[in-house]
Amino acid sequence: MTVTRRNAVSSVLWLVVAFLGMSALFLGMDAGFIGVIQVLVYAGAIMVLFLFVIMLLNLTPSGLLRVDRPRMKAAGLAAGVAFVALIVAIVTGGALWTRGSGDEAAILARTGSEKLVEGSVLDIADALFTDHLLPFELASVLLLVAIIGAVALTKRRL
Amino acid sequence: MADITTSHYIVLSALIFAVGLFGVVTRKNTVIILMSLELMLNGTNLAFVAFSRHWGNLQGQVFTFFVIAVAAAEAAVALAIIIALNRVRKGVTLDEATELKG
Repeated sequence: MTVTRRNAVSSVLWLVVAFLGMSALFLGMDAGFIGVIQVLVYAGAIMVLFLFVIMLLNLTPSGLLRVDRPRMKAAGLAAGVAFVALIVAIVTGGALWTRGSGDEAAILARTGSEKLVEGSVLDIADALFTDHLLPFELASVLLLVAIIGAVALTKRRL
Repeated sequence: MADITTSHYIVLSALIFAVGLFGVVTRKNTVIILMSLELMLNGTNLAFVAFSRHWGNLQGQVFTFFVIAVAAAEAAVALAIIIALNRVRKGVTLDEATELKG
């Protein structure tokens, strides 16, 4: 739906639906922190940013969809081929990881731990601030650079 | 929930990735291309979290966190570029932005 709507605003709203569904999947996989972050960052911040830009630019609904049909078909074919290639890669590489099913008992038996891995805030923070401290700091620097870059780009005169 | 295996999550993630790819290559509007890119990133996030659960390993979720942070930064900068482009070219379609010189 996100990619087929002619009007950009309805496209954004469908994207919000997709992100909320994704967040529900994360919560279903016991990844609570990632699920909440998904809602906060995507459905909250990024969507507001998109809506703001669309309304600021005053996009017209017409002519958003590419009109020439042959190119459209070729692109659809390319995306379909990519999907099939991904599936083939999954199936052929599947011997590496499809041992056992994805239900809780099988995972526990395979990993040898007494409980499923839980993406709680505590666990994620523990991993972030011990093993991944440098990438974490680099991410903060990246966000700062992005803020400065966005301001510098949109400012009329520096 | 017991019937949903990791393979289902991975296939769904591939499907979302393909839909995003379709959007990136078919749309002219840069804003919608950017949204499709976010969709592709989300597909990979889903795969990361599914594998993280599959192996009982937290690394995938930590990496997903970084992907989300980078996606946020990328969206901010790209939207700023789109606004600047709109000011120069009076349009947001990709075909109008064929040269780098402003």
